[in-house]
Amino acid sequence: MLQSLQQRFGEKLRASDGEIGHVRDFYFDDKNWNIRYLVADTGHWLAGRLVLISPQAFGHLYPEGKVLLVNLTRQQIEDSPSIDRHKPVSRQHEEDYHQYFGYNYYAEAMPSWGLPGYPVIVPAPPTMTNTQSTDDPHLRSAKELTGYSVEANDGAVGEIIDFLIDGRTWMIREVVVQCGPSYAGNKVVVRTEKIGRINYKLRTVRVDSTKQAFATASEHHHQAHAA
Amino acid sequence: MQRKNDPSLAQESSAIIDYRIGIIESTIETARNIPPDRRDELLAMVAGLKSELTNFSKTHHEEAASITRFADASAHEASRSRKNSKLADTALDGLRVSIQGLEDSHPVLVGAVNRFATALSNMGL
Repeated sequence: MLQSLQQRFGEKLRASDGEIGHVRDFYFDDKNWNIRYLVADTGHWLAGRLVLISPQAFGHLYPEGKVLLVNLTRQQIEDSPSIDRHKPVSRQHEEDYHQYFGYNYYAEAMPSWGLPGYPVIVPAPPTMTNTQSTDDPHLRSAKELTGYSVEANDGAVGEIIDFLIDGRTWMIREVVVQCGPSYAGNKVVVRTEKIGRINYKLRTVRVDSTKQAFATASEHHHQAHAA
Repeated sequence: MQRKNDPSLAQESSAIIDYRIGIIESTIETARNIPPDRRDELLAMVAGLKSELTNFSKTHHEEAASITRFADASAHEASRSRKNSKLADTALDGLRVSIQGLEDSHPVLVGAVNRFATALSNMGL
């Protein structure tokens, strides 16, 4: 069952030995739509420091509940590399992160996390926490993408308001589009494989579909598809 | 010609929006003719409007500035102790015109502006 990513924003996060903050954002790979990190806002605990947590530290993302459980300790979270919220997330940083926690480094050959259950991973001791990096143009923020204009092949149809994720694989499967009045103001879901170019400068997303398809798609209820 | 995607311009635009939205909030908070429950409702709308405008201004600096200015003017006219209906209508018309053509590309922003304009209209503008 697909779940709304938007509804996860603000959800409390609890490590194995106590609360660590709340969900601030999700970073995903725009090539395969895998969630790569959950961005944790540590609030008062670490003075609002933002920390990246891999889906491997969660296992499945269950739909119910107001608290997400993280299979790490508060100390591990505290010692992890933080991010600068105003800079692009980088692959270098990701390498540091995986090195720190002892996870397998992300590779394109790995299409999804494909978690059969909660992973049993013993974190490695910290080795380095540098923040110098090169940009990764494919690691993107779900929060940032929310509000991007959606363009069909023949014109604008609406804007992104949510993402629907498979909680088992942490893969974004569909994007929810708030359509304009020309499309009865409906919310329409679009499968991610239909999404083409994401233009971060113009804040637009191209969908391989037509305005007519959006106009005739019914209101979003996880079954209506325009593309 | 508009310098699209100029980071410094986007930053400047965001600062202008912050400033003007601050004025709108102050106008609403200090207006004597707005009942408390309506005031809270308007302030919540303004917060939503600010969020949408800030994102919108990253790619549409000038349009965002126009919307913000007309929203400011509309709020000002709505909160005056002695209303000038012609000015009030002009400000609201400007606000509505400022979002024309954005309905399909930015429906959430347009919705936020329309709700704000309707709320001001319902105050007797």
